[in-house]
Amino acid sequence: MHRMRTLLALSVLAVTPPAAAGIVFAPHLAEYSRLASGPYTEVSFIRSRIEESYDREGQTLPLGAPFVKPGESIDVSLALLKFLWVGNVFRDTQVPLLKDRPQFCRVIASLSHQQASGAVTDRSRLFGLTSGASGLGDLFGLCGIYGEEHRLGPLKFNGLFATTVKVPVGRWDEQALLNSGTHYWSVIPQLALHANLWGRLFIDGTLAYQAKGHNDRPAYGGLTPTHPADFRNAEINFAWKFSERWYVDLGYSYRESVGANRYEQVTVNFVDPVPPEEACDALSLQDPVCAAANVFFLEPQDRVYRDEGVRGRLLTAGAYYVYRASSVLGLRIAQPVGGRGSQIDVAFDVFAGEPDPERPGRVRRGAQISTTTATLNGVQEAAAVSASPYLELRWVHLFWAP
Amino acid sequence: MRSVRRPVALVMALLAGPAAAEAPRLGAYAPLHPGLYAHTSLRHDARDASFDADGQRVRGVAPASGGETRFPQSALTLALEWHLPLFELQEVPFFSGRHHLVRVQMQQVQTEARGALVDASGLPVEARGREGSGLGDLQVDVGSFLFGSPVGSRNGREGPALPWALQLRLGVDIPFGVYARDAPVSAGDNTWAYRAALGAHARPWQGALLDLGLRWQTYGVNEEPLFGALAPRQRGSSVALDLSLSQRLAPGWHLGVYGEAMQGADNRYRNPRFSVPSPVPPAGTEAVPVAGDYRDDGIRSVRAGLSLYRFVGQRWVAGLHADGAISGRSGAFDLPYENRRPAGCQPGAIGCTVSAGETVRVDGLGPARAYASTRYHLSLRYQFGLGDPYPCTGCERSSP
Repeated sequence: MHRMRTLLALSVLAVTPPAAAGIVFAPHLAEYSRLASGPYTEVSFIRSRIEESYDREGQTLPLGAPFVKPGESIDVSLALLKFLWVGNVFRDTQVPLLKDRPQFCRVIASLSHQQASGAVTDRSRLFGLTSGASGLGDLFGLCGIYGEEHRLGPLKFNGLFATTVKVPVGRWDEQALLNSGTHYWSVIPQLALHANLWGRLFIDGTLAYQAKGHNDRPAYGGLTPTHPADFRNAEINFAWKFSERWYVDLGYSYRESVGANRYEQVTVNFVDPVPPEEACDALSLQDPVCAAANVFFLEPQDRVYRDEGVRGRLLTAGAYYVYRASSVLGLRIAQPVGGRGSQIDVAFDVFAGEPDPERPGRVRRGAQISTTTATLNGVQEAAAVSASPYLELRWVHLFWAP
Repeated sequence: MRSVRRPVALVMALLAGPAAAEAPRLGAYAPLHPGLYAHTSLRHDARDASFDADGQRVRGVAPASGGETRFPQSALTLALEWHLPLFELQEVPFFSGRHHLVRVQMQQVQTEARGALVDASGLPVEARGREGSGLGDLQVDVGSFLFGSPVGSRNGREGPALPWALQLRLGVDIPFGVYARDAPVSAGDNTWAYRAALGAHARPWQGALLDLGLRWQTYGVNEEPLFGALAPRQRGSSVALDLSLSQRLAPGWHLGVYGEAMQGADNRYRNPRFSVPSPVPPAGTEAVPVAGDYRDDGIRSVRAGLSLYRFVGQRWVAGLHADGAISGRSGAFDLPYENRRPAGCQPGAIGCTVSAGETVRVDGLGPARAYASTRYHLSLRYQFGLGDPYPCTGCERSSP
């Protein structure tokens, strides 16, 4: 029984696909309960097909809208490899507080694959950009301490405090719509609580704050923030035990940015001069210049752009099976139920095209004729908020029983 | 039969799918004693020769470039394989009475593009393949032994072990590998792959191990094929047959021969953006490939090799292997160009005229390429422990 409960106390931190804004503290069964000392390994596999995202009004948009037709998607796969150690290195010392409270440390590595579908890829090529990524993601390391366990009749509860550091070692391509890494540091302190009622109902909740660093090499034409906003996270999870082997849970997760994301290096532009109709269609412009000369050139104005902040709400539901008292298999679905994505209004200077005397048959940039504005979507982890569900398959294994 | 107006324009090739380049394993389809096994191998392939679309062996991988081109590749592979019983006390149909296996394989690949074709393409130095080096795709396989069991153990009860076994295996390649979309070579394929395989193992005479496998594999869509979309967007399904026979020469020493034959269906390409070399357009015009879907005739590969194995103690098996290509065929297709006047104009724009240009022969990249070079492998297998790691593997309980 004790070993079984030990196994059910799962990870203290879970990470969702990089395509979603921020690190989402997706709840799991008995996530923050006090684990018995020992090493735990965990492998999670996450799949999603992102077909919709949230705009700054909180409305769902088909992926790539209005720049591509509905029906496009981003295929996302993520594998998380986790190693957790629980113990007490101060147990036989006189260090106050720590000698009576076990500590835990954890390392999380990730592999990801993300690829946009055909029309999104073709659109990206107009700007000389690519629309996929794969490889090693950022590395997460966390350490924390459990609080004491308390009992009130049928209720048993404990708390914990932990801090996570995200190390930006993941693969980063400035030309890509999607990336495995984030290219900025994060420090994430969190407080969490676990409660167990009658040995049947498990409640886990947490509050966390993500302090984010800067990204001096934004990707996708500067549509990833150079100064991603900090995040606040809150989550709660309710789990029910049907038997020693079967459990189910329901959870809710909320996250929001503190202030706005800042974009300081917006350079997105066409590789070659394009006819007005194609340029206006690609940037969804409604401007008289769309009926103008044969070709024209666009240049984004060098300014600092800010969005209106991002947020997301998520519901999760899962089932767990305990096998052999050494493994836990879990299957879970997560469904976004609201959010706000990052969008900025980028000002473009419009220049007429004129024959290039040095290259007969070619066109060069001429005089400025106008200024126009295009609403562009922020992309990747700090800016985009997926409105599509994802599926998670998880395996936790206890190699050495405590 | 396609007509070609100009000499063929061969382009760079990529690595073949990782599943085809594994080091052979002694008793590949044999049921092993329950436990964890680690297989590591180091492979080197000079990739300085290939087969063209007519099945002719050619020097280099892009002879139309006017010089020798190579894609040397080295790969370090690690595979973890668990042989285990499942649900042996729960009487689950199919599962409880059999042994099963789970295999996870990953690679670290060093790849590069060198030679005349790369120089002619105008690629910057940093895009010449090393950008594509790194982690390869992840392979996951699960299987069951329809017949057969580890020697000396049959569901925990002593009894005669079968001298043969039949394994059914299902697998998937997850494209976590590095994929440099503008480079000619990469460690990964950016493509999901799914496979089903049947493998038979037998011990036909004293000291001999015979393994025969039949594998069918199909692929997802690669939405962003690399190097100007000259790799297939939709790779054709393939069927492969592999055979190995090893014989014990002396205590601890085995010598083996192995081979594999693979036949793939047509590969499909969409909207190639360039070819190397490309046709020279008339003055004042620009030659642009015609957008569209193209197909090749599929690839084919037959390889054979030798292996030498050495058992070091009870847990280690070292191997040295070399295999060469016997025959093969790469994928190729005809790519028509159109000429746009003035250069750089967009079709449909005022003053922009479009006329038919030349057609060039293009070799498919990546998995559409059949290499003719010799591969060398160094392998090592470690068995983490004898005996049953689980508390009870189908054991019988007597009532008190």
